[in-house]
Order: sequence, then C-alpha cells, then structure tokens
Amino acid sequence: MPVPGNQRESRSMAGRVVLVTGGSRGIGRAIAQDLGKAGAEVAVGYVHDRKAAESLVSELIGTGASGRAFRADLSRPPEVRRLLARVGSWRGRLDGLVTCGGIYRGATVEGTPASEWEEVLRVDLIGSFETVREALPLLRAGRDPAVVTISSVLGSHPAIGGVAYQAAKAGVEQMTRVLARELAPAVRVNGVAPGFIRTDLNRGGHEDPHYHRFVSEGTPLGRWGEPEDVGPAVRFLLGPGSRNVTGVVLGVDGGIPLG
Amino acid sequence: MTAVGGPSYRCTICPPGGERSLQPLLRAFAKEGVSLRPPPREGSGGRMTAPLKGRPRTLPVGGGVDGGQSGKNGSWGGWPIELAVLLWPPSFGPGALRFMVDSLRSLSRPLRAGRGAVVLVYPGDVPSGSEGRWLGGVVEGLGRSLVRSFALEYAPDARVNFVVGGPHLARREGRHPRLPTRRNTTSEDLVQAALFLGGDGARFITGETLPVDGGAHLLWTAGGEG
Repeated sequence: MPVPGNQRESRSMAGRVVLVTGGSRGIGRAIAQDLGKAGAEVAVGYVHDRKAAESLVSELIGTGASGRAFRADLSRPPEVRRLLARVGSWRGRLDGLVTCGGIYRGATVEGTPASEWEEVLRVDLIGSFETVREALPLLRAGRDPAVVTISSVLGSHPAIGGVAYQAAKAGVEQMTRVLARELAPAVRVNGVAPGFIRTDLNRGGHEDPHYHRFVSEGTPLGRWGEPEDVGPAVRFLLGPGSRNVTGVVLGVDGGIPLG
Repeated sequence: MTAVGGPSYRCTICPPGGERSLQPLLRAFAKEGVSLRPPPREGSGGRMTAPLKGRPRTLPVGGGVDGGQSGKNGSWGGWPIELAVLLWPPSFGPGALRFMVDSLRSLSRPLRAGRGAVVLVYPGDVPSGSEGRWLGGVVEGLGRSLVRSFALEYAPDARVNFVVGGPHLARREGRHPRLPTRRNTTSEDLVQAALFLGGDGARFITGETLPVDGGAHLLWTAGGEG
C-alpha cells in the first residue's frame, strides 16, 4: 500500500541542517516554520528583530524541532563570515541554505538615487551571493546539499516603482543559474519567485482596499499569497524529491504573470 | 486544493498506444496511489490506491472523461478529480497535440468539481540525432504554452502545471557525465515533481513549468565546462 504523500512529506527534512536568512519575519519565518515541522534543524538568521527570531526558535523547539537564532547584517561581509562560522560551530555542516534576507525600496525612477541602488544591491543581491559563497565549506560537508534563493515575480515582470529592487531580484535569478552550473554536481541551486504575498514588507499595499482588490482580481487564483504558500516549494527544492532539479526558478505567484 | 466534500480521484491519463513505452512511468505513479484504473461504481466511494495490475486502460482521444457520464472507456461516473497526471504521447505528430488539448478540455468539469490540479508530464524521450534536438524543443514550447493557457482558463477552481524530463536523449537511468547533476532523470524524479505540483503544497502555483532534467536546460555552447 503506498504511503500517503502527506505522511512522508511531514518528515522529509528530518535531521537536515538548514540556514534561513531573513528567517525572523514574513516569508522567511514561514519557510523556517515549514522546515521545522518537516524535521529540519533550523538556523534562523535575522538582523533587527531579535525577539521575533528567538520566539521562532522557541516555537520550533516547542514542536520538537531544533533551532537557533543568529544575528548578521548581510550588507557587511565580515558579519556574513561570522554568521557562517557560528553556524559551523553549532552543527558543523549545512544540508540546506535559503537566502531570504532582503530589503525593499519602492521609489520611482526619478526618486531613486545611486545610494538606494547601492543599499538594495548590497543586501538583496550581493548579500545573497556572499552568504552562499561563505557557506560553501559547510554545504560541501553536508548531505545532498541544496540552496534555494528567494527572488520575486518582480525579478522577471516589470512594475512601476522599486527599480533597484526589481533589478536586484533579476540578478538573484541569473545568479541562481550561474551558481547551479558552477557548484554542480556537489550542490544543487534553485530559486523560488514569490508573487504578491501578504507580509510586513508590503503592508502598505495589501492594507489598501483598492490595491488589495487590484492584486486579488489580477491574480488567476483569486487572492494574495500567504507566507505559508511559499514554504512547501522551498522544502521540495531542498529535499530528496528534487534531486535532479537544479538551476530552476519556480514561481509561487498564483499565476499573476499569466494575466 | 481538495475536493469539497466526498472522495475524489488521483489518476494518470495515458495516450492511446503509449502504454508500453510509458510503462515504467505508469508503474512509478501507481506506487504512489495515482493509477490508471476504471472509476469506482457510484456509491462505493474511496480513493484509488491499489497498485496498477495488468494492462492500463487507455482513454480514447477526445473523450471519456466527462464527469457527467458513467460507463465504459475510463469515464468518471461523476466523481471529481483531485489530481490528473496527463502523460505526453511518445509520438510527435499533430495527433499528439490534439490528444493533449482534447484531454485538457474534457477534464474541465471533474477538475473544477474536485478543485483539483492537472500536471502535464513530458518524459523527455525523443528520437536520437538532430531531429531529436528540435523535436524536444518543439514539444517543450508547446507544453509551456498549453499549460499557461489552460491555467488561466481553469483558475481559480483548478491549477495546471508542467513537468519536463530530460535530457532529450534516449532515456536511460544512471549516470550522465555531461549533465550538471551527472544523473539521468528517472521515473521517480518525474513522479515526485508531479506529486508536488499536483498537491496542496503547490496551492499557489499555476501555469509553471518545472524542468527535471539534471540541469540540461542550463547548457549552451559558450557556457563553459562544468
């Protein structure tokens, strides 16, 4: 009799050590929770909200999972190095890495100075790259190691406002493909591109009734995404079910690009 | 997505004449409880979980999946569908496209009733040589377009996604020195991808194509050795 998919999936990450940057809030938090429920040992990366990170770790431990919070400003290379050194001291290896840490700035073209480009690229693109690079020794010591980058539907579909953010996310997607080629066969690298997801990052959007309706009606599946919609895709791309998948960026967007 | 009250199907749809070449894939799906079997009789309920035995039933092109009918040739007796895995025919003529379009259209009512998902699966088998290279590209392009169109048509009640296997060579399990992962894609790889895209974990995913090809889609002439 076949094992029901949901039973096997429920422990698909058992014993795997995964670092989730940006793991204290929003999509990153939901990813960390999903991985913890599936049995992973989760290193929760955060920069500002220590309370949120530690409450997440307590929640993971309370459900029988394992976790620890690690602070690092991804825009500062020495802090990225120290982050991976501390994760290495904690578990000695990484089986998975999710680069979810990032910032958003939504100004129009005329309102975007060079300094905003530098700030957004430094965290969203270069910070993601440096996290992967510094994690390589731990990943190579891991079991079937895999990386999942988090980009955005805006990385491939242009919208008004936030040009630096959109360009950074486009860069994350091409970076994902290059990493997939260069790190193969030892490490698989894939990406998830979320659509319009209700988080603190875009609270000004989804709490505006007009904009809320605009996005819901423009999304074929008829709603905004929730952070919990993203976790299972990340888990699939980190786990054994995707062992021959690399260099893919998978949209989790309700079909909004189809409209 | 799950059916609104009551049991629903998880099934594979195999093109006529494709049973033999698709047998390994059909068996791999059957092991996961996604079988090509006749629907249960009205009132018997339950989900199809028995392993596939004997020759799989095939559905005639252009029909047989009308949720409103009962009886022969693989029609559904009114049962909603939770997951339909639609296998791309091994032939490459116009009939293959016709089969895919007709099957997708005829799944409309049972899929919407089950708030289900359909996953097209193209294993990646093509003839060897130069003809194989462009045929594989044509099939993948057609599949991507079909999936995007039907995903829009069936939303929000049902989702449609695409799994593309590879590499576009004669399919053999085992090592492949030219692929980034160094592995050929197996039936199990295709099944796991289809089950993910057809399941609740992909509830916010529709219109997507997932290459399960060992990274073959990344390769191009000037991309360097890896």
